[in-house]
Amino acid sequence: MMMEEIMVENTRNNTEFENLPQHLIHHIMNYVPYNDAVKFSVLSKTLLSMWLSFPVLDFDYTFFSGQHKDRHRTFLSFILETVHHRCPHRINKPLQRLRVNYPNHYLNSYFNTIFEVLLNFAIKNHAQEIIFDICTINWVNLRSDSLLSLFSSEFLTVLNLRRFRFLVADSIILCPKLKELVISSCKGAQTITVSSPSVEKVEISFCRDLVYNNSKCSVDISACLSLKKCSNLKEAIIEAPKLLKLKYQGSPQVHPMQILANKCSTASIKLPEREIDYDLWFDNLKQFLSCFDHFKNLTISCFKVKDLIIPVKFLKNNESLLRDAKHIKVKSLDFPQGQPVRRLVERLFRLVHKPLKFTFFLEGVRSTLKFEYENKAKKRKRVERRCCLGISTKCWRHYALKVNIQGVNEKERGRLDKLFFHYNL
Amino acid sequence: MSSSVEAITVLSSDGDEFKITVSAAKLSKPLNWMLEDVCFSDDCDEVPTIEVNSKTLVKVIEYCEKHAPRANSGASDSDAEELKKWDIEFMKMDVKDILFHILMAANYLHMEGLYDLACQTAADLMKGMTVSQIRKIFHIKNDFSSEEQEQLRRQHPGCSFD
Repeated sequence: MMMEEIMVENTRNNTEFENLPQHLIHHIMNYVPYNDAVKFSVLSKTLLSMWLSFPVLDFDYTFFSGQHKDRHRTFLSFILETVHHRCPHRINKPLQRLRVNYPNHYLNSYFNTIFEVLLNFAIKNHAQEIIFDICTINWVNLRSDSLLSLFSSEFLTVLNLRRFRFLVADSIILCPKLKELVISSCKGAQTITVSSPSVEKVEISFCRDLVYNNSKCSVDISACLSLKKCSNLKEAIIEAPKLLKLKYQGSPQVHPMQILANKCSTASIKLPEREIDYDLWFDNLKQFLSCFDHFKNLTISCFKVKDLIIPVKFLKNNESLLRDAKHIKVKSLDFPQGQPVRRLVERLFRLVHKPLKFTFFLEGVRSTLKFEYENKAKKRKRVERRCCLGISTKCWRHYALKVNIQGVNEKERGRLDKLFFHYNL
Repeated sequence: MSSSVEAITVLSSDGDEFKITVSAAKLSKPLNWMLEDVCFSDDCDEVPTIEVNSKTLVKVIEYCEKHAPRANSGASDSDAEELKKWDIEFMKMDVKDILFHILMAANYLHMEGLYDLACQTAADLMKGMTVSQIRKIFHIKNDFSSEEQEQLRRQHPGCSFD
């Protein structure tokens, strides 16, 4: 009887928190904010040993409070103590994640060294995710040997670098398992080549040195590439044969932008507010859009719709800039009441060859225009102009247009009907 | 056997019988294997045993039955929203009596959704609590001497433990 009681007692004790398997406790730690997770180290001896082997290092400056200097000092000593006490337990085990968040005004050379040490530590310990979210006015210098080992790490799946200065101009990223790459606000990289076969997302943003001329971004990825606000980008070559979707955010001053992506038919362009001279803007815009001539689906977002309505003087001949465009979406938050959709449609028609659909999201209102073409190419005096000379597929001007309009108010519809009537003359 | 089997019977570690519908059992790999065994073996009399106690198994089956339709067919956003609310209600349970068992069961039955949900629940209980509160919630015995404790706290400058 006594024995049985002890047995029952034992099985009951087996489901203590500390008896849960280590990977389970680590999974729970993953869900707890790091500064709370630290508490595992003082709960009990078993949990301390699990804490020491927790394969995540997370250093977040925002968790620390106090006056500027004190905060600095505690953050620094927290990093050093953690590395000193936790890291010896983890050598030869893969590190799941290293994250550093340091949104501070100034980065001194001491922190620079610490960050580089952390980075090298992570690479040595086969880190899978490295995230450095640094937001200072100056940059973390990264020496070429650190950079080389980082960019060729076999284990890395996520790399997120912000505010780094690469001391190598041509960066080639080889990591075979890399899935997500984000490089933002970095300096020094004039060309970035990503040739990781597994990459799904690449985002390169605010990289000023990516670079005055001939910046080349060659990417061997199959999902999505985004370029965001790299303000000094003047010329770009995007070589991405497997790319499916391209996102570009920034000024249209990049020209030429050579996009070598056979499989990619979808692009989205986000234009900034027009700050430069009217003529220069539209001249740039026209040339910029011509780089997207082989895309079928184009989404163009802009601040003001009028920045997209290219004046007729820039579109003198009837050559279509967006030759392959089938579906064009235009998004804008600012669309003044008085501005008719008709003008936008008319200008878009000057850019396209034979579109199937226009979709507009203007001030939250969605409207669509679908086009059908009468089978027989219509011979019309007006279009026997040289618009399609030598091109087998004739442009919309050669057909009788049938239009299906939705989501447009009565007044606008009248204007559009008039326009299409005019086109069909 | 034929595919007409709609539910399988399993035994809990306490020896009680439970029925799980086929679609619900699909949420767990080991349960799915058992299902295949039951469906394809000639000898159907054998009832598989799951090393989970009755009290926990009731909860696990409840979770499976609720989540099965969505996992099998995919559902709209409003359904997902409702399911989330249900999950929160579902997880309101005694920590020592049930939550630890659910964690173990989800781990043992390879049920990713429940595993994540239970870990998240445990983590949420911990957020913002002091060390002594956490010990109380999770029934953890302090086996450190006060000097050891002091030394450990010093290793994490800037972190508050109380």
